Amino acid sequence: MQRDGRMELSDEELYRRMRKGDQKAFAELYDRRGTPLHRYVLHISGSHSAAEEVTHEVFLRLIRPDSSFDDRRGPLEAYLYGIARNLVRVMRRHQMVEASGEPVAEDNILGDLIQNERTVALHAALRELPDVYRDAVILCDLEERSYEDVARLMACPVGTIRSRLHRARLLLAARLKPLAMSGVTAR
Amino acid sequence: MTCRESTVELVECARGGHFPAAELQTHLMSCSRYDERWEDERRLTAHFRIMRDAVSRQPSIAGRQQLMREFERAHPDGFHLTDLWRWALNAAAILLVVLALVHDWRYHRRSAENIAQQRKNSVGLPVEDSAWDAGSDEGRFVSVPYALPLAPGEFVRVIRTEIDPVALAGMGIYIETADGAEIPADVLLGEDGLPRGVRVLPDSGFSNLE
Repeated sequence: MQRDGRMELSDEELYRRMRKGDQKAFAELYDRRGTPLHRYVLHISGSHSAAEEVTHEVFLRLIRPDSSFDDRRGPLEAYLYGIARNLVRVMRRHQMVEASGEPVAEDNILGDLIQNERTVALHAALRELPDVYRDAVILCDLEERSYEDVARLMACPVGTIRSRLHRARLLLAARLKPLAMSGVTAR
Repeated sequence: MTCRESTVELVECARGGHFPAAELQTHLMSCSRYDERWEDERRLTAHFRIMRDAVSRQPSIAGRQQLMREFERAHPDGFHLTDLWRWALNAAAILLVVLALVHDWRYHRRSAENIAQQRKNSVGLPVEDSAWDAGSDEGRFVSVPYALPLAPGEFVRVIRTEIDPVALAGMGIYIETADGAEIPADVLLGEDGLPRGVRVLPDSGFSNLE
């Protein structure tokens, strides 16, 4: 892969280098994967502080000597998303993140950024979807990644991702319908 | 086209934000259920766009800096660019030393081989076995005046050259030539490269008038 006329190292190569103590490799890996991961956690948790905390923790785990990543088992990115997903689950279990979709303190994205009631409802509905459906929506529709890319991340066929996404959209549309019928409109 | 077949295309059109093909549009007009689905999908896509814009934030700079500090703590003897340079320079220095040693060794080996070859090409016999003492007057080496005598067992070398008759006369070898031309002769050299004896070639056409 090339970018700006220089070779771009794969995530796995950067990981190998950072494990040997190369800080530049770690910084590059963080700059490449930190932001999408942060957005992903923000979508599934609905909380900026949770997104910040989980993203930080995911990369902290990469630094630790007991990091369990093994590139024979899949790409590094999938590993990062997997850790993030588990951390959010643990946080929910400890009720640090409210799973019901209600606002979480003042840092909740519902309060400061999303002004549309139906979008708020959609966001809540998204978080209530089963993980596989929710991930398909977040990665394909919110992160705008290709089916192939998401299939690689989720370690499943492209067709499966497509059908999960279509099913998820159907469920979300059903959740939005009562609001649409009650006449709630976008501002 | 059935409703089921059209669903996939319908969803993809809604996601991509473009209108379905003519065939699907005809189907949508004739099927209220799927027309409703089309509207739902378009609404979803619009909401997703709003959500995308809402969460375009990045992780904080402070968080990044803290991670870098954590990294430095975890790798106190980390790999830095200066280390890379140090390694590269050390490796280059070692390589240079090795190359110099190899070159030196090859040079000495070649010199030794040359000396051996020269000895092989020379008479290659100890002086007592050489033509120094051998045979009759004809073909006998005449010693060069005031030259050090050869040591017993010293290796000698014979070179073929042409010598001025005057120089030969200085050694007691008188040869008459018509036009003072140089005379072909063998010169016996000691190990130090100095001449010890001279022998006028028998077939040179000149007579030794010693």
